[in-house]
Amino acid sequence: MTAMPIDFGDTILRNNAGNYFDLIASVFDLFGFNDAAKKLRYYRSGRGGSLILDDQEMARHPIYSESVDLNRTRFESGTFTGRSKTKEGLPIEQKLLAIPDGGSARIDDFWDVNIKKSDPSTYLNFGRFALKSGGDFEVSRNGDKFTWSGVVDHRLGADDKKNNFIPERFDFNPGQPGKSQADIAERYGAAAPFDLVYPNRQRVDAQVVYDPTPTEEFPNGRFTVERVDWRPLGEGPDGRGWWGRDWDPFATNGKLEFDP
Amino acid sequence: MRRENLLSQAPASQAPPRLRSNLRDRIGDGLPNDPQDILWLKQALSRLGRYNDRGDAHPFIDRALATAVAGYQRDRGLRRDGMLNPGGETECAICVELKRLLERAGR
Repeated sequence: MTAMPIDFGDTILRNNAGNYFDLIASVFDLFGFNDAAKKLRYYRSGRGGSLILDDQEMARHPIYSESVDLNRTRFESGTFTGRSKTKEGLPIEQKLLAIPDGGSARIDDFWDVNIKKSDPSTYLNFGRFALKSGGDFEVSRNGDKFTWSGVVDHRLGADDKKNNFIPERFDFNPGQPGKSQADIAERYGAAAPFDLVYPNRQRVDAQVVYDPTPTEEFPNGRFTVERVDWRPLGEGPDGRGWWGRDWDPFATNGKLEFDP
Repeated sequence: MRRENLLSQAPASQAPPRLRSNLRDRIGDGLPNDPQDILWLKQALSRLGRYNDRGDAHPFIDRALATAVAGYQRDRGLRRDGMLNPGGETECAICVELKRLLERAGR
């Protein structure tokens, strides 16, 4: 949002709105919610763009790793067993059974978690937020054995109704405390919302076996996971963090470093 | 004052919490194995996509179950002994996964 030109009256409004958030940040520091205070100060800086979160901060909010664990379990129990559907709505089971012996196919799937409730430290830091884990796999078939190999990108944010990924945003929504002050501060350039970024790519290999015996629960037979090997989070080709292919953190304002 | 006296005099609110296990006894190949424990384990691993009961879940350890337990312990970095102790790390790992999965049904 382009800052409006201000006169004396506007200056008072702008300063009051800015002071409101400065006071809240100080209160957060007083109560030990330092991560939340840092977010508010970045918001007040008016930089906008994206803020890259660091490993130490995310380690202080265990619900993130719990959500990643949950999505990994969902890949194992839902995706690799063919029980879920691709984002195009195609049953993965059908795609698997269509692979000829000795052949392979590319399969993608995703799982997301909406975190609406969390402890005060996390809620003040992130508010309600979502985690999307998107998987891209090459599946090869050898008889009744299916080998999955690919990557899963864990990212803060979720898809919109058109399946476009929207990063998690630090802003103030209608009904939230501070919304009116946020509108004023943003209007006069005293604050700006920004994206929260913490991408983690994870390689995974899995061995799945197919049993064609029909049962009441699985009339087309059943896929069972024999082995899964998840590599460490954030493992890139040269050992460093590995960004998602279709997302460029430098595409916004290019300012990633922030030290309040 | 002896330790047991201290504990007996402690208010109920300060007593250590009792862990509730889904298992009545230890599970493992070659052990007596409670049938209900086996059925619970089969259902749990089946829900996680790790075991195929082929539509007939009998209360005995079979090779598929033993393989599923060994594979699960290997993949989760647990002690690979093919056994589950009540409240042990393997049962706890399974329970934590199931709890998260079932609380967040759907995408």
